[in-house]
Amino acid sequence: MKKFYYFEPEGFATALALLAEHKGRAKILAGGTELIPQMKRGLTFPEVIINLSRVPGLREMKEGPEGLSMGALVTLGVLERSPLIASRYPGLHEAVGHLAVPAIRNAGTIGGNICLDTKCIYGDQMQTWERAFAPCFKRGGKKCYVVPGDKTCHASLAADTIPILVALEAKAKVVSLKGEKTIPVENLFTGNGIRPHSLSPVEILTEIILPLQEKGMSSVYRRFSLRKAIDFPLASAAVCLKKKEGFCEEARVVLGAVASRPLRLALVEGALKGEEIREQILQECSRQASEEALRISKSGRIDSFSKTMITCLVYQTLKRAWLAEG
Amino acid sequence: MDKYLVVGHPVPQVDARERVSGAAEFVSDIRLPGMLHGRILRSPHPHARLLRIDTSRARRFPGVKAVVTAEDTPKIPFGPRTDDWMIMAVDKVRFVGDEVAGVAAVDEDTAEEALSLIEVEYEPLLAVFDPLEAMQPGAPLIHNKEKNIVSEFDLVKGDVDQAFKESDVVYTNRYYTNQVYQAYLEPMACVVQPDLSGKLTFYMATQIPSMTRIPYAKALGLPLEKVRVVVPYYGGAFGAKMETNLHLVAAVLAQKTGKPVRMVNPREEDFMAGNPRVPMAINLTIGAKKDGTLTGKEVKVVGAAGARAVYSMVIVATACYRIDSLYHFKNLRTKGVTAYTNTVPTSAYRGFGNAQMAFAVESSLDMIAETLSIDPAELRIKNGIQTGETSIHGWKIGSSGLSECVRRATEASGWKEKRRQKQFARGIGLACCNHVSGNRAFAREFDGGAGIVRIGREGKVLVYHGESDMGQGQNTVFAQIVAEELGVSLEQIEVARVDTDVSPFGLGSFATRGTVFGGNGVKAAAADAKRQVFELAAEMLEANPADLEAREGKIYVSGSPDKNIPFLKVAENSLYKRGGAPIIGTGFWVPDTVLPDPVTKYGNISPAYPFACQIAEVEVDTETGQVRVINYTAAHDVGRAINPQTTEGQIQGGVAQGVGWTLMENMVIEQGRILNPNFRDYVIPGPLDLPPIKSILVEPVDPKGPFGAKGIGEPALNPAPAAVANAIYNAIGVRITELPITPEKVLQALRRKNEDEKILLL
Repeated sequence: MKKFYYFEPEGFATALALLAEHKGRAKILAGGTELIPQMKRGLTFPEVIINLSRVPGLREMKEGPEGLSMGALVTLGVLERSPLIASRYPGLHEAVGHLAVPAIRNAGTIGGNICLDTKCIYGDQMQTWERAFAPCFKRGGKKCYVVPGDKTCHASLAADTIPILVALEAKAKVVSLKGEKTIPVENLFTGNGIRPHSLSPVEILTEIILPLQEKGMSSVYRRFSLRKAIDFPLASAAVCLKKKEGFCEEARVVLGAVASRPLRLALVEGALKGEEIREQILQECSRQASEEALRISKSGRIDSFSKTMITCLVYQTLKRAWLAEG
Repeated sequence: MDKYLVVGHPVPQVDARERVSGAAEFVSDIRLPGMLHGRILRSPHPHARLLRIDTSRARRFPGVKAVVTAEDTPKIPFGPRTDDWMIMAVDKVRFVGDEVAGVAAVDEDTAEEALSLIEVEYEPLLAVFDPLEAMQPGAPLIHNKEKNIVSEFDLVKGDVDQAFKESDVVYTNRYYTNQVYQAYLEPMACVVQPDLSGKLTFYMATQIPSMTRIPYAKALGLPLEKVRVVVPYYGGAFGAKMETNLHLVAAVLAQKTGKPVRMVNPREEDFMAGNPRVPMAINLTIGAKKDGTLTGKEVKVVGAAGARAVYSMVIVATACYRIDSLYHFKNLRTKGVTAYTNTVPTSAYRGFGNAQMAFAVESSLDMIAETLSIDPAELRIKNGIQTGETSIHGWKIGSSGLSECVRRATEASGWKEKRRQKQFARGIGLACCNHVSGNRAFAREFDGGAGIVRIGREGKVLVYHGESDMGQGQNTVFAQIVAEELGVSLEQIEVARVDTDVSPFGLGSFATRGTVFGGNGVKAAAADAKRQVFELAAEMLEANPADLEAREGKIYVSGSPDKNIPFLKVAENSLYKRGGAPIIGTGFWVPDTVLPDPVTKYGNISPAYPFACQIAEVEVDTETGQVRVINYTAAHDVGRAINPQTTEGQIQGGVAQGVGWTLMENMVIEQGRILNPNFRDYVIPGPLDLPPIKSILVEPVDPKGPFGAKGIGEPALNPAPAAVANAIYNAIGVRITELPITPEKVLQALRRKNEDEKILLL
């Protein structure tokens, strides 16, 4: 591992000042379950590491009129064990419960998971390679090995909490020296595999706010992975449904891990809205989902097997959300 | 069973406390005074000419103590079987991961940084990755061997063509077994310590502590006595940890610096330059009569050696003919070819080729059973080899629990009912295997096992052997055998770590030979020690040594239980009477194995042959293609389980590895690069992916094994891929012939099956 400077600021002011001073050369440590392994493998070389663990308030969860707010450093384990999350946001509860293993969940944080970098077996290679093979976009090169000939990076954004937070229409609080702003979580993502997050190098994600759940709302998350634990999903789906007397008042359907950003399926959502929920419509929507995903992402990553996974996942999540009590 | 007080009892491993508490010092834990840390610069090219290496910048880097290349070595070609190895590349690199240079520095980070300062100029050459392509005319030659062929295997017995003509069913299919990594916990590692006389002590993880000295001494241009091997605790091997250039680069750096050099493969490099399983393409035809009697087998095997032969050709040979001693095939025609490719050298992985072939043969037998409407279990029993038989290749089957394995596994798993009352997308499948306990053809110089038993003043017994405990529980089994033989408690026994300056010349732990060979060796040594104890005790008891018995820490006169003396007293007395000399028993065991004839392969390669039957139950998600193994039964003929607990541990581990190989593990290789050289992307099963595994120990008591024991290491894995594949076939009616059986392949096969059914209806 390369040498680096390490800071544990005790407040935002210092943390932001450090970020500004080491603009672009610093990384925030919010648990370290991903950053440290990436550094050990030589995939990232921050010159400066800023550990936020001593910044007050970042581990708090509180209920307010807007909903439930979670500090960015709330661990995934805390969320998994929270009765409030389990009862009101079952989709998020499932997402954190499937993530990695308990030991990693006890160290990893919600903010860290949202800021997880994209992954790709070509991009995540050792430097040894680059001496003989042209590097890909993710490694600063000019080609993509996933979709040969393509002009963009197709690394996958596979963090489990992202699709469900987008489906829940969660908001993110971001601070910088200029002040504080609150934006939809959905807007945190650029769709660019090389730099998947829209946060600038001098901004810090501080809080996630889950909106209040109205009566009739249900949320569901499902993932597909080869191994049950410690395995990033190959595809995942999150669904939020608002039901009333057998009709769907509102639907939000989001896919994860099949592109460089979460894919929100507006057509599928539109097709469900106002409809009476029947088996047939669930099947139609799940088939439509894979087509829409392919079209909006233009991702060569979505092959015929990915489409099958998407169809299955969307069907299963919709059905479970429909049957769930809300 | 009660006649034995220690053997046959499920006791925890003798070093369990050390292992679980973290006190055990593994190879990578070793720190010697003045020790340096080494790293290797590896080739990024699959095939390239080496034009120039400039190490000057790396050498000047602060903290670097030495940088070495082939120029610092005697450049003597060597290798375990074929002289196609060099310690570091000379003129050419042949795979991504090939050793180019080595660095020793004050710490690992410095060594790693120095690697980036070594300038190497390559001229890329055309590379070839597939063994079939490698054998085509015009393919680039990797070692200047004609058609890149390492070796060929040809064997004909009887008349296969006639046999097929007379068969009621002849089933042909083509199978492919992929390249998989052994995924041991500790990567390859060593510390090499030089002394002033030029002697090198290798503290290293190796399955073959004595044998490995021969190629290492040759490579370094040293006399054999200058190479000493000490085997500390190490974290698993599964066939991979035999010769590796990692040890030799460390040795060269130790020679150059005069300091101990520690070298541990980073996990990525262990994938790139380890010894993964030999991938094989297998074309198999089997014939049978209506009643299920097998008539003949024809097989062609193509194996990819990678860029160095290592043991690949012996593994392909094993794939070609070992399974012929499982069933009565009667007529055989076999061809095997092993070819060089520009990929990581492949070698031994639990099963040694027999696992690859078991997948093919056991899958085909399932199809034959279906065609003939015979219960697959019955088909196995009908054709299976029995106790007392001599197989078609001359193997003398001293005991065979094959039929009993099939019977007990089918009973325990509810086989009959589950086959009869099939549920949607659920299936149950069965597969068998045979194996060896030691392979006469592997170490050709001699066959046998030996031990030394030293009894100290306090009655403490120290056992020396020359095999290798990599975590499987060998030391525990040896301790139990010696305790039983001497009639003392297990707590009195300690097993010395293997040190080639002291330990017997054991051939090592491979071919499932440890228990039978090492066990018989230490048993003979214990018997020799007991003879000496009895001589001294006889004097003390005023009895005849021939009338004595040892049991529960006492020496008795047979028939007069009151006339006894504690073992401890005899041990103490022996020192006083003999000027301080401890009792040292040595003994050896030489089996009546026969080296196979080079042409006919007729011989008897092992003293004892283990058998197994495994049954997998699966559930297939027909929407996603995902297969879940929900139940597993593994019945193993182990002769006699010296330690049922460690034996079951081996079975559980073998099944886990087998299920992983079958459903998820795969080294993804593109243009010679391994794309998933880490445990995030190379997926092995975790506890949630594994079913409950029921182990059944079948104990026919072998005439040759120590206390009747046979080996268990490899047979624990061999049948797993076919058992799972057969269960999938039973579940959804599709036959997957290429490993791993991924959800994608299952879906494709299902789709094809649906189309086939529609076409049939036209």
